[in-house]
Amino acid sequence: MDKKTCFTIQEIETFLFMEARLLDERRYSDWLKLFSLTAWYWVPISKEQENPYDHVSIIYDDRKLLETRLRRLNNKNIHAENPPTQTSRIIGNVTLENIDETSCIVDVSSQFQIVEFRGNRQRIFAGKIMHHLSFNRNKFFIDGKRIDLVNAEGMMEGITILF
Amino acid sequence: MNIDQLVEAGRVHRRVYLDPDIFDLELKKLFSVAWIYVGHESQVPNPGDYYCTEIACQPVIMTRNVDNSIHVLFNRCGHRGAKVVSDESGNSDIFTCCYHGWSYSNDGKLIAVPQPRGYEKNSVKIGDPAFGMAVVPRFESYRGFVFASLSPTGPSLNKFLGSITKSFDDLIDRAPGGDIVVQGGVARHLYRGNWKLIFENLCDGLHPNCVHKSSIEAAENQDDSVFSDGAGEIGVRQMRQNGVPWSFWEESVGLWAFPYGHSYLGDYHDDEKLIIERKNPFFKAYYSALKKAKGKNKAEKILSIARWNTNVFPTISFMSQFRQLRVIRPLSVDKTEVLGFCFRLKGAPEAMFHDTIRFANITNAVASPVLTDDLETYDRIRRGLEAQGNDWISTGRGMGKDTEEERGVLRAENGLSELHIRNMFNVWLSYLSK
Repeated sequence: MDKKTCFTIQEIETFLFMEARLLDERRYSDWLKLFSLTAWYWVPISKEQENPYDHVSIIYDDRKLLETRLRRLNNKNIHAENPPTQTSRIIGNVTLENIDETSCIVDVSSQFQIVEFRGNRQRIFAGKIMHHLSFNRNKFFIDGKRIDLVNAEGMMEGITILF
Repeated sequence: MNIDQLVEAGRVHRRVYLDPDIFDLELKKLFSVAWIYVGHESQVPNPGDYYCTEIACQPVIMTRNVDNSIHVLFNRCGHRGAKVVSDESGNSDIFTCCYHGWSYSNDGKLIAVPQPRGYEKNSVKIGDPAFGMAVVPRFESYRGFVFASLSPTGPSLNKFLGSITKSFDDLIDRAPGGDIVVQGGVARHLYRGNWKLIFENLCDGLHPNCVHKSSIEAAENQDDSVFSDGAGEIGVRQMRQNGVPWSFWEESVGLWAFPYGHSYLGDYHDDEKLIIERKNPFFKAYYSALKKAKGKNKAEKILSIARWNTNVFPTISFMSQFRQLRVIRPLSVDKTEVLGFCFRLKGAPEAMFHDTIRFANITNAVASPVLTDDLETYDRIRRGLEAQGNDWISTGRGMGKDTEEERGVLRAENGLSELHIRNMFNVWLSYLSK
């Protein structure tokens, strides 16, 4: 590549893998630092869902609600996480979409599989993630993250992990 | 087994939550007899529309016929018994079975049989109800809320609901346009525990400060200057509300219990935004629409009602002022499905519906920071009840301090009473011992 670009796909993959690791290691405060101050985090109830405003979601958090959600995960009185959930996740099939070199923003599509274990029960989650990333001050920030679970429309037991 | 011995004043035997034989008895004597919520008419607005659900673990379908009438049918082919309609909802003029192609109209009549030769001895005739999709014995609607009973005899829906209809009225009357519509998708979750637990929990004023401690503390420590598009604003407020002290529940919250097992918790929120949304940017537009439709006095009266959860035993729990409804479906003695629906008030600003959705995400979403602690609690009850040593579960809080407000309607001492649980089990016993 002749021109100096804001980011390479390797840098973005490294970022996604690091993010996945923070979640598996339950380092929620560090994970929150990856998000910009007006970021949103969204797990729709259907892959056809167009917006989080006129339809219920599995999760739709603005920055404020995301902070509260993470603070609860670190609260010692959280019954649903006692004992804590263990996860192991694989991120793959990373592709870049809608690259805007001028503003240094990019949409990144990836697939994921997570094995979750808690209280002698194991579950598998899988689906597609769309990261809306911006690059500034030499760092990536998540401006928005949409996670489409393959079983989003299914009947599930309580979910306390983040995707 | 003598069922009468399982319910006593102030306590129930743990088997009512654990025994698969009792669950079978419940399906037969309670869920196949009582009025069971099927759906709201707005889920099938046009001819050909259908919505599939279950009554007593049996597949049923609510349909809108070409003549605009609503029908509730068993979702089963009159030929070999396959479930005819597999999508949860949709529109079709004709229901065709996947197995041998028998087809039915929206009211369940058999209208076509491919390769009809050979059935002569079987007397299969087009239009014969014996070979149709069977109509459930009774179905009725209260202002758009459709209920069905698998029993051909029994009290009317009006008698069954009694004055708990005021909660339905509260929900509908809030609409400036005079009607409500189910919209915004379905929030689903499953818990490992008996179906009765959620009815107990939804009018239990004592539990939030224990069960929801993690989300209460997280919300209390939230910096309010952080960016919110509305989601966090409603969500954090709701979590904080769960933390009101027990003294508030004793002094300011009421609990009422009704014939046929219904109940509601009232006067819960003193938060203006959540009760009547007077501080919301859209409130002015909503209020003026309501005032225009109903007149000022009526509008004020409508907005002054503050009911929290209304339980309609044994299938739904709804929040009239927050426009939410949960359908509780028992799957087995220790597995229960819950479906959450939202209502749009006709004639209300769009922003108000967005708040309804935000509220649903906090109260009914499977990953809600509030709900997940309830689900964990049901799971622990299921496991804990297996323990021997004491066969009895206490339901006696506030016992002996109830007052009769109107015929058959009891008001508890305060919002921390277990009146609704005792009332539910009295009614439960009368169904099961018949």
